Amino acid sequence: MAEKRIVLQNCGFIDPEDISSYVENDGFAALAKARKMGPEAVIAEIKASKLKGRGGAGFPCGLKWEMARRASGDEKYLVCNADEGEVGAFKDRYIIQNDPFSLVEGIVIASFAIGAKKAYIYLRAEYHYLRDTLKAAVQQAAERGILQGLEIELKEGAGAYVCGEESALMNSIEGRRGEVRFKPPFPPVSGLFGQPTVINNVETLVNIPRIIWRGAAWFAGIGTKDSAGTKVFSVSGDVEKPGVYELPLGSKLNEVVRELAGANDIKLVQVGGATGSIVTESMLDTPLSYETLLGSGAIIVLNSTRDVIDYVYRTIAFLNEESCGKCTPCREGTEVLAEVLGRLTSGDGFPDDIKTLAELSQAMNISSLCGLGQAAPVPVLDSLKYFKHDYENRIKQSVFLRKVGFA
Amino acid sequence: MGKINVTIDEIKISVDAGTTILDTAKSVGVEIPTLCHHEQLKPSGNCRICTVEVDGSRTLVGSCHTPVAEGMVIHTRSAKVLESRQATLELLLAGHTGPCVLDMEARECALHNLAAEAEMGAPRFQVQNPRYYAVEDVSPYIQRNLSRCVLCLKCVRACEEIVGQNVVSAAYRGFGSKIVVDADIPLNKEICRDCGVCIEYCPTTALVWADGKKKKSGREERKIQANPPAGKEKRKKLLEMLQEKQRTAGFISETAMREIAGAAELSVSEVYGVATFYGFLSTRPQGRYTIRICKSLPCYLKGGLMIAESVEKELGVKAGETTADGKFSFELVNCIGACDQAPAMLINDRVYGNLSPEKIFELLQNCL
Ligand SMILES: Cc1cc2nc3c(=O)[nH]c(=O)nc-3n(C[C@H](O)[C@H](O)[C@H](O)COP(=O)(O)O)c2cc1C
Ligand code: SF4
Ligand code: FES
Repeated sequence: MAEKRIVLQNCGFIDPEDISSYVENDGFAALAKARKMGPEAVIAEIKASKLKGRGGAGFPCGLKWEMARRASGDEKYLVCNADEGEVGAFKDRYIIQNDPFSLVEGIVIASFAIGAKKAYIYLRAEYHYLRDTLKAAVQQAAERGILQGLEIELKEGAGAYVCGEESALMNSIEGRRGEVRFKPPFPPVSGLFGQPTVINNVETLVNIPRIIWRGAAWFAGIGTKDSAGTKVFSVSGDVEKPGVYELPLGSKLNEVVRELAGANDIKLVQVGGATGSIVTESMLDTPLSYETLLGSGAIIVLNSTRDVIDYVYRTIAFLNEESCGKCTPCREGTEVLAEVLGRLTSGDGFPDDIKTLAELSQAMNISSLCGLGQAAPVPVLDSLKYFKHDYENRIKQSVFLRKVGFA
Repeated sequence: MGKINVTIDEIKISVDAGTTILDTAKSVGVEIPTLCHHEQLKPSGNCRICTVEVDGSRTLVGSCHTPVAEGMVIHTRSAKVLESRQATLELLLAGHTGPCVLDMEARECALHNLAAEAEMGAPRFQVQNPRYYAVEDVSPYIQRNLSRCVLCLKCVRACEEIVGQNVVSAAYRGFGSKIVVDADIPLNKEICRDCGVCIEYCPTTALVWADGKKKKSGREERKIQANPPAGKEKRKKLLEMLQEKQRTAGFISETAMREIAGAAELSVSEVYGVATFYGFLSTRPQGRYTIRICKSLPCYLKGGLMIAESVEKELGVKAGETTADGKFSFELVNCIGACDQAPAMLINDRVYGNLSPEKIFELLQNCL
């Protein structure tokens, strides 16, 4: 299957600095249509389209909007999550760089649908260089009278991966430490400043004008039964052509990594960033969908020369550094995992290590407060499943080296 | 308010909507252990000791903060619950220093008692460098021994919610998290006097009276008298004020933090807590150019560490340091979202991709 550009349809065809080039390409036509339809009909349309969140969790978008619309509050907020901190993810950056207007249009439609007068774009600090593009896009839209009273404020992060998690993100916007909050209450009921809030990923929001313009039935017809539409993948690592590729959901991993990105030597692929699952070479015909694997769509390829334990160690070290530190299993657990894996990487393993990794992973997975701590053990558990030999050999080597006095 | 029907450890019960699982359990005589929870404080859900199993939920749920829902079937003593609680306790024990077993005072520690109840031996997990902090005995009233702290945030919440002060805050992040006063200095009597609320709420012996008095002072129950929290608009500006300072001054000095605290009507510790959480905020002076080399997987696979080495060689400083002339700071950072151009780095706000040692040399020459 080839690429299918829906989200990225304008990328390369419009001038991201100039709104008129967007307007000439039917820009804001969907917004005009949405305003005629009215909020309830817009929500019904998004529900019918079966659009699910593209930020990783995959929550049905229309349902989230409906909850927020029905919730009572003094004010309602829409938040665009442009924190994109997942290792190997850069698709939101690509979208903003090439087509910020579609994002603005999506934000205006979403705010209209849920009844928000104020929207935030939370942009990660690493993307400070996108600030001017985004600000100009919002400014130009305002000058053309497109916002109709909606205020869109750009909020910048300050270097914390966990602030991509929705509750940490809200704390950050409120000027607090980016610690996560327990749920419920869920943001559509009580979110930013305690008010009903919808948080959507950049890519989710860019899908909105497409759906409104061409209809829910058209959108639902793309992809699979439970995974409608396309997905934008960020592919990196041991590939010839790293970059952004958009395919219908349900496309096979093989098509993305081999046919499009040009990987020819594959040991394993991690799908979904640091907390993503591991796929081995023999499983490359797995379809990419919410039913199988997807996450944020970050795909990292490792070739046969790569050391699995070293890779898992680096991944856990990342999560350890980025844990917010609020809950015990994640704060202490990632520290212990990183230590065991660090020892294994440097050839200082012990027979109990595999058991420790597995048992701790299991506990963290079910008892951590947020997705970071819950999913941190995924690469550990997956590598133990597919590459247990590597661990066993490393431990044997370690024991041997210690015995002969080398370590 | 409607009634909600739930089943808890096979017992059927109907409670008011909004009741937490913990309180529901209590009402039928089912005890769920807790550590960070206190009836008089807002729930925080941080310790995860009180988690229980709910049918249909993949993960366990915190009973101290989750309200019951119609038809919920709850298990407080399933194998999953007990195993994960055991792991959590072991993690807490492994993460801090203190010879609990030999320590008579340890009996006043809720963690010690929870571990004893669970009949636990030595923890399975080991932390190479458990937290160690020197005992703070500068204050004539309160002695702090943070090596024993379990980061339950009760002191932070008690100080804010019960006495309307915000003397104590959490600072730093992840495993390095620490409860601080002011700009992370030993507790003294100028910062905090002798109300002792934090001592009463602290479940461990991290906070005790300096004169060796028992924890519970025998005073009547505290009345909640919190001032309204800092206005939303002011608080909201805090991160921006810190970012602005970082941009203009290159770092956030202690003086700057005090000024910002004054302007935002927050305590210094709150400002310090936020400033030390975020990676792009710095409390030490930074060079005119901050070089951030990505060390995450996609860049690592493409030789990111080699790039870091050539920067080290060129500048003569290691990651985390600033050159003597104050020109360059050099850091290794996590994924900067330029993986399609790996190996990549940021110099101040600009991305440079597809790096090679030669290119580094050229770029740095241009900056020099
Ligand atoms: C640790 C962690 C990091 C996350 N980072 C991001 C992120 O960078 N961008 C994003 O859109 N969602 C991220 N999410 C998911 C958000 O919490 C949230 O589900 C999402 O923004 C909702 O938008 P959607 O429904 O449109 O996907 C993260 C979740 C976790 C647990
Ligand atoms: S000092 Fe005591 S009350 Fe405060 S966080 Fe540590 S253990 Fe909890
Ligand atoms: S007592 Fe519930 S999470 Fe700590």
